[in-house]
Amino acid sequence: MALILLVDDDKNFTQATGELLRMLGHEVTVADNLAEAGTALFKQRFDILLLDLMLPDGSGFQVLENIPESQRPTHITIITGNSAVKSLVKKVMGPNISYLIKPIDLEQLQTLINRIEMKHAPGGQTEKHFNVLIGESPAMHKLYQMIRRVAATKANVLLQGESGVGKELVANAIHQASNCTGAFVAWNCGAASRELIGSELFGHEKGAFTGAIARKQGLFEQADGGTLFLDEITEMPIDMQPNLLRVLETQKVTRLGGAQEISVNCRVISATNRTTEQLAEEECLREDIYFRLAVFPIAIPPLRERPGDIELLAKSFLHELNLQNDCNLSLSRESLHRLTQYDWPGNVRELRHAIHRAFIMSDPESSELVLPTELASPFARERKKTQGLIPGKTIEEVERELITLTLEQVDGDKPRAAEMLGVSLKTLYNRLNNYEKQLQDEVER
Amino acid sequence: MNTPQDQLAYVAHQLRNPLNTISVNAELARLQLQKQQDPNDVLMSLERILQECKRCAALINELSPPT
Repeated sequence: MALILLVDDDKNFTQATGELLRMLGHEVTVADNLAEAGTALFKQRFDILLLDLMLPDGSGFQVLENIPESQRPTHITIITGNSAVKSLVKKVMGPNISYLIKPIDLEQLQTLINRIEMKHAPGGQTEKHFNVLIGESPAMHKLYQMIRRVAATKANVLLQGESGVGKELVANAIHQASNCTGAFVAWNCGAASRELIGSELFGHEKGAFTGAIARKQGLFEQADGGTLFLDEITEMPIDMQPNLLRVLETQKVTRLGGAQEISVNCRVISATNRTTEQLAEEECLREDIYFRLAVFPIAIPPLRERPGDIELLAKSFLHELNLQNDCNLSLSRESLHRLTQYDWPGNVRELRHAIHRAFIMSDPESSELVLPTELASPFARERKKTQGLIPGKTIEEVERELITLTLEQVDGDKPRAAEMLGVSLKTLYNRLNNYEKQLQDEVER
Repeated sequence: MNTPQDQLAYVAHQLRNPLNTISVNAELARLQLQKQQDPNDVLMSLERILQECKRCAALINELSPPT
């Protein structure tokens, strides 16, 4: 069974096609226009989007605008009268698209859905908790439990976790688990200039300020009945925070330049990469607003604390890339071992990036993904360098780290590295051979 | 829409949508009969086919007024 969203303005067509698909055992939602399609896409993640490009309130191309990555349908099918549209669509929406050419018959529909279902079946898709989160480690299961608990309430949530742990996905998971009717609206508090923050959050009336050429709904209004996700909450200037506090306390917004108070009812999920101690020390968040936002604080574990999930995540990212690009690459045991050995200071985002980078570099005709010799991103390397010496490390570990860092610095030029380290080239080779042997032993074990 | 070719291209384009609806509703009617569904459901599908046929006729009339 597939979850299908059918977007077309021709009611005689959607009624019949909807019924036809339901009779074939699928679950179908119908949208007559872009706005309805947008609402449906925010509410749930569909397997297939059947899309007409000509809609009364715009072009079908616009339907995925503003839809977060986690809510995008797995497969998109364009309903078109003309096969010439294919090359244009590919440019705009990427390669993972299929077509139904009008007039559509049952055979066309069945072939398409069978093909999509077959394509998505192999290897058993990794289970996504709340449709978005991947991971079976104890740390993640604890997180899922917290998500379920808070979803049953109306409490505001503060998500804390390092950069790249997936704070927006967790926010989305809470939204999904809440069974609310409104939309999930995400916003980064560092993304707007301070003059625009008020207008973004609360909206404005026409003529409220120079350039306010039309009335605008604020984020609170857009998220009414749903969830407003405020990322990097500490980036909001401290003197702007009382305005936010007022809305949190009264659940009413007044658009800039407006006189009327509008009731809003949404859960606010905010996020920061600072710990509670840092929040208190750095004074980047007012205490009163902290208590309003962090009714239910949730700490998201960094990837290095759940190494067991690295394999699941890596395979899932690779699976997605394979689908998008019609490839069939897999990860060897050795590659998986290397991935789990690395500590991922950039967390899941860094892992995703590493897989994507390796995917681009791999030969699409081959069957195995080739990881780069150095996994760390330039940013991670910077952090590693400043880590310095930590008591408790063995001399051997420090030596290995120094050799690795030096080799990185000189782009693998071994004679130069040996010179910098003050050892003979032979000694350097001996050490490197030892490390390789150790790695192989670990893999075999 | 001056030349006959332009007119023809326009009508061909406009006919695709009702034809598409006719096709899907015909498939539905067939499936409804095969699965022995309520005859009223089948009638609804056939009704939609007839409506679309009228739409096609109207489009063709735009091109050449009925004699």
